[in-house]
Amino acid sequence: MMALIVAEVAKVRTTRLWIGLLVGVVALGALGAIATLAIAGSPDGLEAGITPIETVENVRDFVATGSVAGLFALVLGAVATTTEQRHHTLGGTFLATPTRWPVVVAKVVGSAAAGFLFGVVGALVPLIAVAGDFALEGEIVPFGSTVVVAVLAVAAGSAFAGAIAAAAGAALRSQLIAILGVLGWALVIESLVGAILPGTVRWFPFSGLTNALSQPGGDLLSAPAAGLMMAVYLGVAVALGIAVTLSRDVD
Amino acid sequence: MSARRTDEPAIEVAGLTKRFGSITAVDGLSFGVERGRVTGFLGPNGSGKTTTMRVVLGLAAPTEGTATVMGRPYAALDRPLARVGALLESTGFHPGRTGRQHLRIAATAGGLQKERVDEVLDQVAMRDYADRRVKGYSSGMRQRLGLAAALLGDPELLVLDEPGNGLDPAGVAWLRGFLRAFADAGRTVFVSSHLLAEMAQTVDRLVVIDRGSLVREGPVQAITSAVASDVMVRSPDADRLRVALEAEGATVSVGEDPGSLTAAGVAIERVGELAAAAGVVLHLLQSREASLEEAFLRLTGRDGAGSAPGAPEMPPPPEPPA
Ligand SMILES: Nc1ncnc2c1ncn2[C@@H]1O[C@H](COP(=O)(O)OP(=O)(O)O)[C@@H](O)[C@H]1O
Ligand SMILES: [Mg+2]
Repeated sequence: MMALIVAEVAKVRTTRLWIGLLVGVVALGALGAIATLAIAGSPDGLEAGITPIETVENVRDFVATGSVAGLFALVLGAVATTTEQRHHTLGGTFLATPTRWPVVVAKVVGSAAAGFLFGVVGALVPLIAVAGDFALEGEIVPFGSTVVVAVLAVAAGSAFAGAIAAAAGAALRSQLIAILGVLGWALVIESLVGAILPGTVRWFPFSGLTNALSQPGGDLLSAPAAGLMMAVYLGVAVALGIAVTLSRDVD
Repeated sequence: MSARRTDEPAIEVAGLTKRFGSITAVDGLSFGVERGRVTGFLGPNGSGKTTTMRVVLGLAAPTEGTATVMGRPYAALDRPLARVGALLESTGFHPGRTGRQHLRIAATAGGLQKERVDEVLDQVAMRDYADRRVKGYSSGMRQRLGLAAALLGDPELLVLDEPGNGLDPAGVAWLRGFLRAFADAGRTVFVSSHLLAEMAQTVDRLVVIDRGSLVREGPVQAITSAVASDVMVRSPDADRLRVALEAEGATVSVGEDPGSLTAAGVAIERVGELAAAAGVVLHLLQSREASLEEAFLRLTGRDGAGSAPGAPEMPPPPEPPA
């Protein structure tokens, strides 16, 4: 299994997609962070509900905006299997591992690792930005273990996004449908259903569970409960991905 | 893993049927591939060769019947790349990876030695291109990379689907020699082709299919002589002999010299008897073994002369390829 995970990580590493996505994580994160810092505390900012960053809790919440990295992890995961479908490499992959299910598991683990990396980077971008902002004023940014936990929480959420997208991708044939499907779920469906039935948000994988880790409070589940629910979602998705992978004919 | 000859076939296909919706790609096919030989898998385009190989390699599930490799379903082989090397027609590569990266990933996933990567690159003469992206490869280079991947595990069995596709004539000649040497070292090759010229000089045995069903299986010699040996005759009275031969059901063609006939579908002894019975003088009576190509065309009913004698239950001639 270790060899398969190494092989799957090598597949990601040897194509350029991950670089593009990582650049996206940094660019989008930096853009959002700088824009937020620019108006935080100003009248415009107050009107938009953006308070100045003064306390450790403010810094923690600001770091949590790095969870936008999860969107890029979703894309990377969704591509893990479907790119093999698209380039007709799945046959070669299954010749090496004809039992197939370990391939799905390795892709899920590899995508989770990549998602974790994306998440760490995604969380560090606002942290560095706010630290720089404080440094410009000759001050030191408020820091504490809660900030470190927030970085790890963002990374865990992003790892979850990569993993569940890889499992979903294993169950789908088309790369485009897989990418649009996972992004559409995270960006559109959860928002729509959440707007109609606000009580359901806490159970959603992204707006509910991953946020419960990085921005705890409100109606969201406790972190352990959220982690458990994530494991359940992931288990179901992996089982589905394996079932479809085992049942289908490959070129 | 050292190659060995045993009585157990390297590949055994039994009662295999594969349907895709309403299309029956393989239809009750049974055959065996002997160890230590090159077995050609011959059939026109669309006859089910690729589908059969995919089922043999566990990539597609049979609708009915079984296929085993080294006595087991492919999926039950331990470290399969070290036992079976395969190249399928549909095999692709990620265009953004280099040839070497592909092979290294395959070696990792297959639990194979990394040193093999350079060895197989040398074997297929691809070392100079190994660090270029596949995007820039010619079809021949892709085919060589696919062969390199098949050889990676130093397997005892090679399953190759139309390996000559995309190779230039020198490449095809190299491939023939390579397959010959591979089998002469006691290993097994199962190679499909729709091109006869590629096959004739390389293979020991043939499995001939058409429309998903077995047409013939056996040594090349036996198939060509049983199915397609012609009888050449020269006679001053060729017209009368032709009438007698045609009455016997033979297919007769007249040579450039009107006294020369070539008869197919009739034994040489019978030609002699018919000539004697008709009181026709013969100046020449000689059998001529047909080429594999002629044998194949007759076996598959594609020679324009209808079914070949001795080939039971021939399907009707095909509609021309689209
Ligand atoms: N995945 C598939 N879906 C539908 N039809 C298929 C599929 N694969 C092969 N076929 C059909 O099965 C028949 C046999 O195809 P194939 O095995 O590729 O033949 P060959 O390799 O001898 O040219 C053809 O009619 C082909 O169109
Ligand atoms: Mg084919």
